[in-house]
Amino acid sequence: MSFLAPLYFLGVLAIALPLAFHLWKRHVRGEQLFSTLMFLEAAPPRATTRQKLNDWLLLLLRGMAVILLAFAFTRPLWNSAINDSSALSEQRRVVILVDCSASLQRDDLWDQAVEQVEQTVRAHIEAEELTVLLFADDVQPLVSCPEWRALPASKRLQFVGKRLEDIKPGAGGTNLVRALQAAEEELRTPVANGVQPSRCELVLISDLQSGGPIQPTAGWQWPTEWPVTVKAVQSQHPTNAGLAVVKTEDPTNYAIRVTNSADATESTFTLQAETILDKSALTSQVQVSAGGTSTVSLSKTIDGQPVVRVRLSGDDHDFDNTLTLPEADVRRQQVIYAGSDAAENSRGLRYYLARALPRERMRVVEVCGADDFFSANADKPAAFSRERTPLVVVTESLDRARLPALQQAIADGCTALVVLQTAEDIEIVSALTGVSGWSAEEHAVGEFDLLGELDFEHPLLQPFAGVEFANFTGIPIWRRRAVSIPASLPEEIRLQVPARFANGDPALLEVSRGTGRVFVLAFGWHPQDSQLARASKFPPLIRALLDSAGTDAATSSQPVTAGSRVALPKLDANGEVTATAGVLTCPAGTTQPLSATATEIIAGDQSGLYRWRRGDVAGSFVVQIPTAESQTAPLSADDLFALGLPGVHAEAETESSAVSDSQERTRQSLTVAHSQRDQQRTAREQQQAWWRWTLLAAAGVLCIETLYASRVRNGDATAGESSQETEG
Amino acid sequence: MTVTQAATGPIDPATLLRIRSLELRAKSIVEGFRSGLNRSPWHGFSVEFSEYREYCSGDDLRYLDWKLYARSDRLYIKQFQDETNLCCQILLDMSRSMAFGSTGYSKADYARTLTATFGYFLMQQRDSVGLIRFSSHIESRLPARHRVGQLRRFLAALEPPPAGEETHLQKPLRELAEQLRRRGLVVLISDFLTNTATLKSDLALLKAAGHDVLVFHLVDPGEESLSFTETTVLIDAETGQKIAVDPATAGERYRERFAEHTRTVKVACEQLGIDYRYLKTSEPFETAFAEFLRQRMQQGNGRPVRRAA
Repeated sequence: MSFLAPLYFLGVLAIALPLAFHLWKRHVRGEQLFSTLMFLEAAPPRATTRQKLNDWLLLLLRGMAVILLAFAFTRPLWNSAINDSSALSEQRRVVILVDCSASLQRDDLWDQAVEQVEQTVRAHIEAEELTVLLFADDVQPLVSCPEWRALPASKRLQFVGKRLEDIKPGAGGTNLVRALQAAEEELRTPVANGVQPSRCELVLISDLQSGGPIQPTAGWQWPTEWPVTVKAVQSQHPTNAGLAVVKTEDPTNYAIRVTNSADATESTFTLQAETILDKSALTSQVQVSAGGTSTVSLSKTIDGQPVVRVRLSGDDHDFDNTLTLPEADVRRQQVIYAGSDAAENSRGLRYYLARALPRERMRVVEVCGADDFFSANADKPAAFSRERTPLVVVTESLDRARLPALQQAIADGCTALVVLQTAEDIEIVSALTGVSGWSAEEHAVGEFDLLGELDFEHPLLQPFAGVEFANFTGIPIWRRRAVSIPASLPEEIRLQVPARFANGDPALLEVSRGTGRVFVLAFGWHPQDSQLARASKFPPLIRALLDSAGTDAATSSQPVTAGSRVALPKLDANGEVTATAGVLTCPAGTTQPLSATATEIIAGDQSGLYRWRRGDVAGSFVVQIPTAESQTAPLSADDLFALGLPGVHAEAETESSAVSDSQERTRQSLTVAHSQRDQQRTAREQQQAWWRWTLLAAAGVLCIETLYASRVRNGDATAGESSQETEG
Repeated sequence: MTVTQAATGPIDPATLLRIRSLELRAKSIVEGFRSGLNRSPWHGFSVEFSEYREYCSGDDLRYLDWKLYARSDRLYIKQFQDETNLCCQILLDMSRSMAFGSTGYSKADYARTLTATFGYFLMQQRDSVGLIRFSSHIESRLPARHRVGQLRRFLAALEPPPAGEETHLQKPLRELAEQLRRRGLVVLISDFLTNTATLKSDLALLKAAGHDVLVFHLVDPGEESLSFTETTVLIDAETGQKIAVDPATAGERYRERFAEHTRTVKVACEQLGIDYRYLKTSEPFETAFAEFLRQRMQQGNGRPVRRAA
């Protein structure tokens, strides 16, 4: 049994009142008028009679009434009932988020983080549910809930410690928002018996560096009812400078951007360019103020030797001081255009498509007519490849002879975009997807039609997800086709509708089969159909389509971040399908096997140059620490607030204003947690309502006391009268 | 009712005091007493010749002694003893201690009834009766007269309840000794709950002035025995002082001191030749009335009759 207001038990002290009243009443019967006191002396009652109590039953009744009243006011609560009925809902669930981004390589931050993890695990060793999540750019579980549950309490700490031994901070960036969302998802996951745990807690162990995305997506916020404890690990050396390559159109020079952390105490750094032959081919000083950036132009070759690496010195931390430059190679891609309109026809589709393709130094994309393509590759049955021809745009009915090659290309991972200029063009879709049942008809548009429903989560529309870009109402559509989707699709076919017209008709469809995809656009972008081609949204849309079609096949020309997928060509130099296994060499010199069927490599955790070789095909890519990781200054209180954390509890001593401010919020969140528990207890207490029965009992005792007291008084009065009569 | 009561014995004071009219009470006592005796003890003494006095205009010519006029040629009036009216002053203590009573009625109630009885009886005898109420000083005074309406005024003067302060005998007695020129009977009814250091000298003043003094010492039975049994906070009726008294420890001492006090009063009276009567309020009125009559009889038999004027 527990009590909602146990302090009311102090009311039991009021039992002293009836006790004193009994003693006092015993000693002095009352006041009486007397003729004179000249013959009397004050005679207080003797001490021996003070301890004597008459009317034990009366005293007992009064004391019991006081005790019952005090008991009722304490709001008693029967615990066993709680435990029986809702034991499962009292389960405690803890998620520990551990930052293992590249910035944790500073000083002994990782050791501090490991220690904090062990401390936290030790503090929650009896928790029913505990998950340890590692996060950088992405979130990975270190210890899952089932593993935790399966372990006895005595072995849990050892288990977590052993898992942590193998973990070192890699080259990943910090995506705190994604980590928090993952933690929320983990906390919301029902436990094994299906009951949502009532007490959830998040422990965030991080250096809280200010780099990385910290603006949560709209509508998301950390649930205020779950307390968050932030254990910040801090470095004593604030100065940290980082390097990054900035894209430039200059073919002979690199633009190297040097950033300095906001809390830096140093501003002078040394840049050192390294070639294969000379590790200090060029040295120069660069001045960067705290929180500022400076861009340095560096020749791609020094003394005829390409620059392979740039090193920075002068700051406190080395983890981001080396910039490995990719072994540059221009990527050439073709967009196959299957249509009859001429390239210079400004009323056709091709004209606008050619002008919307991206122009980049390291990537050249051009439009190639289908006729030209097939005539040039007539002897190569597998001329299409995801690397070279990621996108095929089909605007008219195809020659049936070319259809199998195109179907094969799609099956191999290529992307086709079918633009329905007429309702009959829907047959192309049926042919390319291999699914019958598609139909389309010309839709009678009034003045114009608009796109009404857009899925900005789709890769094609992601560039427009920002509020300032999401307005498509400036693109009127004058002619369009109404597409009917087949009633049933095979299981291997995946259908998405990223865009719909205002009346719900599909405007843009994506039909996926394996890695190949077919996009269907229900209207043309040329001025005859719509304003799309002349809208500013058209080039980003085409680029997103190209990136979507060929991003996985990106070559090593640009640095990638840890965890990125780097595509491997399926064909060797002779155009044959690769059949031999290969090897991947990491920056540290270690090697990993590369299977013959692998189509992509997941970039590792080490920053630097990765080389791979499979058969006679070789390539390389550079994994670079995200530039944001170099911003090692701690997050401000406002930034933490923007993350939606209602309260942050900083146990580690830190001078950071953010962390000191978080203490107050943590108190608030703990108060919220306590108030929730109190509310539960109050609700149960109200259900049980023991206080009512106690009050009833007290009232009953008081009634008995009143009756008994009146009887005693009447008895005394009768005795007094009889004694007076005797005296008279 | 009176006859019946007299025939069966003294009337219970509590019963008598239920009669609202003070006059009726007094009448009941006196008449009942007479009925019981059948004969007045005072019968006859008023027909005896006492002395001559010179005739004054307006005197009743029936009592003119013509024989003496013949001998001496002077007009004298024969004055008989029955015309020598007694002048009785009743001194009634009306201090607040008289308001105490443990028997259902207070000492003041008892004293007023007693006083009314004496007054009624004396007026029946055509004596002059006066009333002096006092506490720490003389509160009111009704001069002794025998005239029409005197009884009514006498009873009206008795009506007010005790509202005085403390009992102080010295000042009232000294004043009375100076003011009472006409010698007569002085009946003092009091509880004597006061300092008795000067009581003897004060009473001696009255005695020296030639008055016959009769003292009734009124005592409530509760005062005498300290009747309550439990520890009680007692409030002094006169001073308002409060003390907690446990009768188990203080009762014995109280009774000793009370008896000592009573003895002091009694001795003072006896030494002065004053008739003293210790009278508990539970005693019948007839007892006190008989005492009064006895004293009057002694006065009539043993002493020369005094002239009233």
